[in-house]
Amino acid sequence: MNESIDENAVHACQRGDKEAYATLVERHYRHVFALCLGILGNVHDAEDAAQEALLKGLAKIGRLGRARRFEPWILKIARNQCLDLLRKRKHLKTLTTPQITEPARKVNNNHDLERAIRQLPLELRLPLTMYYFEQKNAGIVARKLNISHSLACQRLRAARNELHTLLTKGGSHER
Amino acid sequence: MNDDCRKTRDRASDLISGVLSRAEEQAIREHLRTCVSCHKYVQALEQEDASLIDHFAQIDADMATHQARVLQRMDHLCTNQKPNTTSIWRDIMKTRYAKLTTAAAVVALAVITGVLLDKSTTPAYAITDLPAAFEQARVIHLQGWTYFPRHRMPNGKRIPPVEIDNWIDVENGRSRHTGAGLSIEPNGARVTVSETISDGLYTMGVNHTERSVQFYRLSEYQQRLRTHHMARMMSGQLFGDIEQIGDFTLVGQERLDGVGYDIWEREMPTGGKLKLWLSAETGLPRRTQMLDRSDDGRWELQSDYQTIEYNVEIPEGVFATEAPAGYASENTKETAFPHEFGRGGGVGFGGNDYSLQCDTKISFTLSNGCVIMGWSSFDRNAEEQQKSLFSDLVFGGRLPRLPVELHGLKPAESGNDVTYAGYHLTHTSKAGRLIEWTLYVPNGTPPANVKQFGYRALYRFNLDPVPKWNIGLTIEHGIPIETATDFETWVLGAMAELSDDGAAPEHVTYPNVMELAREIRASLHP
Repeated sequence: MNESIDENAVHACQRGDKEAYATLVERHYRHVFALCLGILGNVHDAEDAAQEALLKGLAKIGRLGRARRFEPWILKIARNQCLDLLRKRKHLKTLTTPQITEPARKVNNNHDLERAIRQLPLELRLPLTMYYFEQKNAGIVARKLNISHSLACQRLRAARNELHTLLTKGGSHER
Repeated sequence: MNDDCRKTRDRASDLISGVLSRAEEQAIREHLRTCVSCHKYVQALEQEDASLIDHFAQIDADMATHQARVLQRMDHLCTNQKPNTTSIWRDIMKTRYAKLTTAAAVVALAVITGVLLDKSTTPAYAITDLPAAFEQARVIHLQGWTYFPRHRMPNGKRIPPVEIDNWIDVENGRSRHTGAGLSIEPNGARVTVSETISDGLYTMGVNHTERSVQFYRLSEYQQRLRTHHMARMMSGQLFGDIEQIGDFTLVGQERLDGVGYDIWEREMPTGGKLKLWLSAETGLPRRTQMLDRSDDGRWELQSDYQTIEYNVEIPEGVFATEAPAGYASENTKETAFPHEFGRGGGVGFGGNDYSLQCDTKISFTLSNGCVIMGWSSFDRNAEEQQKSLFSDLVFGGRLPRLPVELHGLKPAESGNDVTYAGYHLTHTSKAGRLIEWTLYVPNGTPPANVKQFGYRALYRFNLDPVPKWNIGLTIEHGIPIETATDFETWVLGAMAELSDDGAAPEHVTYPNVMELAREIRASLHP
């Protein structure tokens, strides 16, 4: 049912009805944003990347062959957008003095939580972020990340344990 | 830690996720009843889970706004999208003949397009005219938001933006100004939101954080002064340093509510960026944003004034000075505090020998670079001797030997050799206090940045024993005086304000002061 809504909207876009794309944005923005947030670890960057990805999608929608597969297609664009940004950042970081992050202490506010989430490695931060954005449904996370349910649960476990360590015992360098 | 503990900790996350079978969950719960350490561990994870839910819910709350921004940008792109030139080009170039004929046409088209584009990118107004348009406005309205992206509240949450709604009614000396003060505490920042509303006679200070109001009574001069300061402050909010208005560059166009606007940007020396939306037709500002770089290099919004209006009708009640319902009043209009004029800056210090006070009341900078300042200085232990210190002074002569004598000025920003020497103009007396009015003449060309940074006072102690204190007094650049009318309005107005009889001394006139400045400068550089 949902896929057919996407399919109709994609076909309408391809016929030149740009307004139909608004439907796709409304339906998929949260997922695209959650993915970007999971990869980038920062709300502002995630918003920028999600926006860019959706606009790229609009520009390229004529090339989308399987209209029912809009969601994985747009998520892939978003993922590439984020990874591209991270690559550029990494390059920039090598040109600047490495930043030493002070060890995390016992914390209880959102600012420290946000920082600890950012310190998680990408493969843990991404499923954790998507899990909390997808009403704590590990199945949806698995589907969107194209991994098995048990792998999604395993990564969530590792993410929670690592986060707990960061919040209580000591930190690591920002990644 | 035994095997049961390891198993429990391994599966604690799954327990919270609710993905365990009933038997598995029961086994873990059983262990938790007997193991304090694992119980604490699971409890901690549960708390972190709750924090994560809260954290992501906060982010999720902004989703609709994010989404709206995408749709807005999409809309903008679609509105301005050019036709698909590639496919048209392919169709045209199907034949060789077409290739030749179109090549010639393309050259001609390129020339025409070049001319048209060149004209279309030149605005129909000069951005440098903006300050003059602003100064001529009789009513100015500025509405928007100020943000605090770098700070967090004590509970770790972001500080919500504060809405700013500023009005100036120049002709009637009325103004309304929202203020947002940030106090940084060890565990987070706090914002105090206040408003100052002047109805032309009374000023009401509203503290929205403490829900209280205070009334002040202003003289006509003070009302004018307040409006002037408000206009300057608004100008700063809109354009940054007005002297640098020519540094803006045109970076794009946007349609807002169906009207075309040019977007101008200027990188500030402090690292920030100012964006201005000017009507493509009239050049009048519609919107302005101030952005700053975050620690990781992103642009963060500091303020966003989405509505800028000139000479519009003022809605009823904008300048009403009635305490909002439920707010405590510290006084009433009948018992309003008289506004103490001329609290430009001052220092007070004392010890066994002295109890000194030195106040700078108000300052003005003339078009020739000279500065006029009203100031006072006294020793509370020997105030009765003050009058004699002014008895033999002459216009253009030495300064009174007050306990702290502000004999000169230097530009506040170091690295400049210019020094300003002080010459007596006159003195006034208000409520038993004597105020010295001094003309400070520079011995060279003052740097342009005095407008931004002001001056530093040079002083000497006329006391025995000489105190060993160091005093640092910064003097504002003050109101610029360009014409005789400015001089009468502002300088003589201030002298009258600080006189018991409400009148400025007769011998101080614009031509007299300008002539004195010219003579002194001529003697410095014969």
